[in-house]
Amino acid sequence: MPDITFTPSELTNYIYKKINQDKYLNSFQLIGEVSNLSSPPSGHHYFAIKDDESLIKCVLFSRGSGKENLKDGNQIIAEGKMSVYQPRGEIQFIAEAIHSQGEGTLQQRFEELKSSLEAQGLFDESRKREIPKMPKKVGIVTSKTGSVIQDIINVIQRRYPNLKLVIADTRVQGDEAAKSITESISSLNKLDIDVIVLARGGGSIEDLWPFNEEKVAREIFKSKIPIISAIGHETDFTISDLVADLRAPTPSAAAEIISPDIDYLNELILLRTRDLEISFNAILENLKNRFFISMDRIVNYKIETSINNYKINSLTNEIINIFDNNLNEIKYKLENYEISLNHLDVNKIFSKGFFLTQLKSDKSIIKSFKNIKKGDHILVSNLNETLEAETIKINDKGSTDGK
Amino acid sequence: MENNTFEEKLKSLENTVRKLEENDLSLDQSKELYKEGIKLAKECKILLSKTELEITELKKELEDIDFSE
Repeated sequence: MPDITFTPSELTNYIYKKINQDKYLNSFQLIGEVSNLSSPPSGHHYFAIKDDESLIKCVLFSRGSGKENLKDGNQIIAEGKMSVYQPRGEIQFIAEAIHSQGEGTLQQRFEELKSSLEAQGLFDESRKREIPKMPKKVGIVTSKTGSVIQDIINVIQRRYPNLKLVIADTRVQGDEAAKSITESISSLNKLDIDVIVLARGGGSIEDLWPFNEEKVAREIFKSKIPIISAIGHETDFTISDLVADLRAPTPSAAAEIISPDIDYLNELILLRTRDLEISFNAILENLKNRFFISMDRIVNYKIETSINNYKINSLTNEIINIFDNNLNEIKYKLENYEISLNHLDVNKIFSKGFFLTQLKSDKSIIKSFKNIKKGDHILVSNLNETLEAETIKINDKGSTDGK
Repeated sequence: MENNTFEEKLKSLENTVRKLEENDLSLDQSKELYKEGIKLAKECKILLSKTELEITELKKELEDIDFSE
């Protein structure tokens, strides 16, 4: 006898747990042909995936993607996990995404698109635009009902409420998401917006897949407004992250990037005010210095003036000296004259026997005998005495016979 | 353009500081710049203390645009 006994529900529970604990069965791809497709009004799709030997029952719930690939006979790749349908004790594959087999796996498609867009220059660093440090108006592309938008608002509210947010309510999951995202980016480009944030919370590669779609990548590339991509968690990388001007690790991080810290701004205003004070004080100081320098110069000017006075004095002295010298010269000349005059001393001449002769008629001094006639009376004088003489005879040779 | 936003006011303040740092200003000029700068700094402070986050939806924004051009 075996040691353990199950009821059917205990057994299905046990199998369910076993499957859940399995390291492969919780996420894998199932490849095969679609058969027995049934699509009731609930929106869920029931079908089987089979190959030549086996058949596995499958379900794609309405929130899953790729239902257009479901058609009996189609070769598909279904991503999903194993489970147990407990009412019937049947194992069942729960599909999350269906790809037609031609498309390849998501990872393959990601790599292909990545290298293709990279080759076309969509990821070039040189085209990345700078994110404005102090944006005025920010466009947020995300679902307006999710927790992501709340996280963003909370961060901005705390750090920098001086901001206008324009929320472009966008589907960020499922088949319509890529179209919705491109429309939001394109519409925001019509507005006067400084930066756009593409935001989505964490999720599986399928959840994030819209941000790996080529049309989303091209719209981001086309946007005239710089775009920050904040998709999923820090470890998630999408094509959108690669095309965007900046990748933020999370939506909250994107919110911090677009909102400068208000404390920092207050500090900045204080710094600028101090700059004003310093510059203004420097100008005042400079004017004061100029004033004092001028004062000094005025004082110095006085001293210089004294120097000039001194100069003038010495100049005057010089002039006086020259004048004095001239006087001396004059004096000297005068002395010389005196000497000359002394030489001409009349007394000395008279003492040598010379006499002064004058015509008696007009008292003129006789320097020549030309005008003297016979009978003219002549006065002959020395210093003390005078005698009167009469001309008796004039000799041609200049000799005169006096009486 | 009227300097109404914080960003524009901060930029004006920075410009005023820059002008004041230039040489060759008369006492009157620098006094005016200093007064202007202090006024802008005060206005910046007021703007920062009073602001509230403004949130609108894209649909509303697009309705406000005149597409007639």
